[in-house]
Amino acid sequence: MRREIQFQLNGREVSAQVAPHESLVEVLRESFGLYGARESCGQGMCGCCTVVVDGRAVSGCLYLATLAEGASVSTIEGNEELDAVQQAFIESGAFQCGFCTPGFILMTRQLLDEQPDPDDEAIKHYLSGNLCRCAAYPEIIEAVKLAARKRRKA
Amino acid sequence: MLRKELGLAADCPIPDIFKKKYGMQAGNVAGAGSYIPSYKSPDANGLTDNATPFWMVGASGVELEVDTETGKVRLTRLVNVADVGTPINPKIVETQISGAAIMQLGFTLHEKMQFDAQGQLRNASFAEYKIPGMLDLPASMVNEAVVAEQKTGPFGGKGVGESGTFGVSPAIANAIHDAVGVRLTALPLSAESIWEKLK
Repeated sequence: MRREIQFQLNGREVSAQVAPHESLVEVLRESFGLYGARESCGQGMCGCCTVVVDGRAVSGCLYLATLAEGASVSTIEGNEELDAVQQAFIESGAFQCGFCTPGFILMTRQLLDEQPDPDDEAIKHYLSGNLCRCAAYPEIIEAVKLAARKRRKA
Repeated sequence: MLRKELGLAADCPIPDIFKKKYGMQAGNVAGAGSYIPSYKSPDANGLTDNATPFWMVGASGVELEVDTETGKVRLTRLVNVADVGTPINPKIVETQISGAAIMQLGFTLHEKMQFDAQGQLRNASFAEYKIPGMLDLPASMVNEAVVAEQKTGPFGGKGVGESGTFGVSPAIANAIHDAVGVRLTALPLSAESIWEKLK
């Protein structure tokens, strides 16, 4: 029951054979070898599988791959060089194991697109759907603020 | 030391030192090493004269508020201090103390694995087993690393991954007792269990 879908992945036109039940994160891993989006809870509650579909961050574990037909999908692997948000996470040491980091980075980009200068409360609420078992939250908040400053300067 | 040996300025960056020493333009520096702690596994009677390569030493203090209608606890301040040996990467050591304390905050206030009579885990999902998120952070948090050379450890270092954990639960339990007179002796110190004793 597989069928071919075509979509844009990190700026390239691609196609993949997908089964009706397959999630976007499964297809990214199995057909494209993109491991940045990770399935953790599989219920859309932790944010580790975050990918961007047509400009909006979604939970890749809940998003059926077949719905990506014709869409533009981007992942943490989408940019060749580190952007301001990635740089800020590195400089702030905003992780221990790094498993949740791609999701946090994609959500932070979306947050800063909407609110270029968020305060602590705004950051906490926007990123409350992303979980970090290492609990590097204070460092992540610092990283988001540093990224905001880097973006404003650029 | 290498800087001196090569006659370089004291602030010469590390990549430049390696270029001078090894004549490389660029590349990776790879190395391997091992440290085997003196730990001995317990014998058949559960005894050992060396139970752990190091002991955790530290303390936590907390200020909190308890909602007397619901039992909900809100941390206004959490202070954690830990003996960290000699920090090899000080920035990561700080993150580890802080992260460990926040993880323990989850164990203290929310997290509970619920098993049924057959031993089947009933709440194996983040929907029913809540770990701390951004909104669960204490309003203010201070972490302090106390440097104290660990003579038995590599480069004076010791394991520090969970040294931020062990003071958190008793500090919160004592603060709840101090605030509303409720003495709880089992984790988690959930809003429900506090409320039960407040009734």
